[in-house]
Amino acid sequence: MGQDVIVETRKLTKVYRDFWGRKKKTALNALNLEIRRGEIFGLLGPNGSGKTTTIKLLLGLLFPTSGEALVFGEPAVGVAKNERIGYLPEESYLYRFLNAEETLDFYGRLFNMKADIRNRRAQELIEMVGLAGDKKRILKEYSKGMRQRIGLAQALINDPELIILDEPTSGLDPLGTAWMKRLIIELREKGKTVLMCSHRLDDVQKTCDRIAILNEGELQELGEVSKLLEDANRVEMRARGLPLSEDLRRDLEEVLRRHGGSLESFGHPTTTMEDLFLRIVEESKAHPGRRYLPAVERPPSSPETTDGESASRAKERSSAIKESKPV
Amino acid sequence: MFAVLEIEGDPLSWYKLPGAVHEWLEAVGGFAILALFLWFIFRLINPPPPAQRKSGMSAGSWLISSTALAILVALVPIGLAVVWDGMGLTDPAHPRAAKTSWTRHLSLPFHSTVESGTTLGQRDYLYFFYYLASSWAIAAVLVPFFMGLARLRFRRIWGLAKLSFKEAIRKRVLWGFTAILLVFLFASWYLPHKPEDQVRGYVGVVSFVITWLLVITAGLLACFSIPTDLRQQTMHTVVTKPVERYEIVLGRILGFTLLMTLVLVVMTVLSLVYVARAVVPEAKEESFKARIPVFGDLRVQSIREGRVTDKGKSVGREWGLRQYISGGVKDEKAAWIFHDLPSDFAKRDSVRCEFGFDIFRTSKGKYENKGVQCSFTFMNWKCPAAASPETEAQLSQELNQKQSQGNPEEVALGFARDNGFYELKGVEVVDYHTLAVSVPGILFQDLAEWKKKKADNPNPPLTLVVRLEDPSQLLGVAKYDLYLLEDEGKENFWKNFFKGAVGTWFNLCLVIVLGVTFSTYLSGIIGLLLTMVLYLGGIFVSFVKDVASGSTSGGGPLEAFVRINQGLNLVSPLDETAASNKLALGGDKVLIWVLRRILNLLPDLERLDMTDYVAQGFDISLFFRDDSLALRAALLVAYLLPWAVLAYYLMRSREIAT
Repeated sequence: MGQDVIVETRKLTKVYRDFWGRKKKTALNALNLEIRRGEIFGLLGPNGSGKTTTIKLLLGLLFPTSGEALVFGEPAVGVAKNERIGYLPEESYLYRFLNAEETLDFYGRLFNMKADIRNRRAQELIEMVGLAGDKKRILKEYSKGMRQRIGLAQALINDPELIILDEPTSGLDPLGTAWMKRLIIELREKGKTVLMCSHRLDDVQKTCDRIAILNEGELQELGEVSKLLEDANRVEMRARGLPLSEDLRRDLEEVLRRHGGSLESFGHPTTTMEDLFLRIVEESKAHPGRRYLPAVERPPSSPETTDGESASRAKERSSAIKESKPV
Repeated sequence: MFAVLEIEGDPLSWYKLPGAVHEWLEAVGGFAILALFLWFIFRLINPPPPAQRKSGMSAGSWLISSTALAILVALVPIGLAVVWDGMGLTDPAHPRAAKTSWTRHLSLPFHSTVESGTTLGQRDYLYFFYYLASSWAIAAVLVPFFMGLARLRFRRIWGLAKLSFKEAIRKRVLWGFTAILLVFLFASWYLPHKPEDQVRGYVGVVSFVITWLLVITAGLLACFSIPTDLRQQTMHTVVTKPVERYEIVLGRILGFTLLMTLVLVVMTVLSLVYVARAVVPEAKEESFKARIPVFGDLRVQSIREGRVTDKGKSVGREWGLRQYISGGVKDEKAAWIFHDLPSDFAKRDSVRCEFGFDIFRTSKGKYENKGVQCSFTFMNWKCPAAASPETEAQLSQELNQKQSQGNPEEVALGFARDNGFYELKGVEVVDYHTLAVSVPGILFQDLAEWKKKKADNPNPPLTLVVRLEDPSQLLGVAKYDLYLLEDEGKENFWKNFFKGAVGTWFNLCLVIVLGVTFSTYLSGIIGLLLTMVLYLGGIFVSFVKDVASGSTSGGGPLEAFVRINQGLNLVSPLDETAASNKLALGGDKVLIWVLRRILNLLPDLERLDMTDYVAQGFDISLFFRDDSLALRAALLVAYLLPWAVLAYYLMRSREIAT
């Protein structure tokens, strides 16, 4: 195992059997994988592809049928490696009768932390995940997003080197998802290694360095995200400060024809739904009381153009924004 | 007050400890051999992948460590026997002669506790190999267990214990204990009102209710905790921390035990207050005691089929605790032999002797509801009759003659001083009452001298012979029906009450350990069923022992079934030529063989329960005397230790995610 490889699987296989030893399902078949230090690694695949089985084998929750899984050079079934690992399960399975402070205190004890270190670390993490105002409430009263955040806090209680996240953005709203992705990237910047398992392909695309794609227990693809997604047959350009016109279109077609290519699409690029949502929420926080107005109520005025918006859209937005006066 | 301890079987005694350890090794070793055999077969069929093999210890180091530990294990009972011998902790009924060599204990590995022999024969050598094999098997099982124990950390166990504690409280489990209020409110409607029976009744009821409330709650908590965690997958976030699997088990056990202990303390205090307020002052005066009795060994002599035998008669009562002697027959007697007495007796003017016998009447009419006349003969170690019973009659006659010539009391005391012989005749005995006679202190004045010469003197310090004088009646006696009173313990009832609650605590520990052990591998409901089966089996362990030894009247289960079908009573001979009867008898042999194996799995709950002591007003010893709390605790630990080791292996070998 190389110096910078912290997770390695060699022909890792898991076959589920019934009570009589008869084979029921091959969940994972001869998986060979390496995860390097400091990267965000994504594990993708449809339901039943073996992603969660792989994670459980790496965590020692399951025993392999054959092959081996090594984490920090030690067999995954060992307990010692858990000192350096943090794990956020998909559903954040925490004890619902505990509150946030008690939860982190409990998990801190499991790392044999002394009381003062435990308390300090718990308060830091509660602040970091934004639950300071709810730390005395029991987890049963938390929303899905809050439970996910406290789940992340317990995964980080020991400041682990390797963080394993199973569907970290599952059930989170776009704000929560954006926050989680930012945090994952920050973890990498601190030198942590992240293994992430997700169905949300756009999240994986924006955060992961390398990915593996599984299907029916077999590894189908493995590599860097940028290289895997690159379409070598196309060229993309973006420009600013130009109004759309037929003349521009013709000129571009002429240039591309001279270079042996052809124009595939011509128009304003679109932003993502996530970016739109986040921007609107940010603006509403900055301007309390604003609300959307239907077209018939908008006063005619010259709109300001904002980045990334078409002129007509910008006009509609500024017209629609009206400060509501207190009644 | 009628106060008698109804205890079947010999008491737990310190001098029996080396033998008990030997017996324990024999029983547990058999299970260890079986477990290793099954494990080898399983590993042959399902060898683990190389990665998993690497994470454990190598086969070579395991074999070497196991062999080294096995030597230690095999030597433990021998070592204990030698140390006990050196400390003088031997059977008072069979004191060791002064110059007996300690090397006689080295023959222990050649003697089975099931079938003992006195000379070394072929079977004894076979047993020796079995002894070595079982010691090695125990060591082989313990080596990885000890290595696992070395990795445990108390902080983690404490964290898991606190979790279990909080879980039980926040899930409002404790509300169930409010059921005890029903007892406090309504029990007095149904309990006896006679002062002599009140304390016994109230103590029995509160103890019964507290025990069952706590046992059921503890069983539910222990059996469902881990399976619920596994089902809800909260276990995943625990196991992925640097937590040894066994810490999860120990944390659960510790947490539930602490919680139940707190509840037990509170309920015991409330019950004591309830009992103290509910009983009348006369009952308190009579029964709020914690007597310290000194029991003797009972020898009964009766005439059966024209011959003198060393067994009493049976009067057909189902419960064989008592033996019966006929009245008016010189050779029929019950003798209590006191092998040791407290030194304090030598300083007393008199010692109280309390007793409560059963009377079986062969005729009705004028004898009903009346007492019977008994004679009590006390002989100390200097009395010639203590060594030679034939001289007893002679001494009695001599005493009668002298008493007829002078002051009977003074003559009796003088005779006791000179001959170590004291007799009381015509003592009225009624059943369902505890009565007392006074033994003059003069019989004990040379007790110190006896203790110094104990090893060389075969005579016990006191022998008490009881005879029934009334003809046509029978007197029922049991070992614990008669005792000398060391202390009346009038101020100690409340302390004894708490000591009795420790018996309930033992029951709780048992249920919790069994429940958590089963829950490591089985579902909650199956674990609970198994736990309750073992617990109920423990309550009826005496009966199971009787069936397993074939000593029950009417034979085994299948024979009993045949008898019921054919309308035969318990003692009628069975026609062994009939095919169905042969089948039943053969089937019973198989069942009894199976029962003998199962017997080792059942806890002896009769030993752990001390309610009777408290209810009847007998002190529970903390450490030194027979049936002390320390000995019962040792018995509990010996029973639970193999289960705790099993829990370690079950938890280690199971997959958490299914």
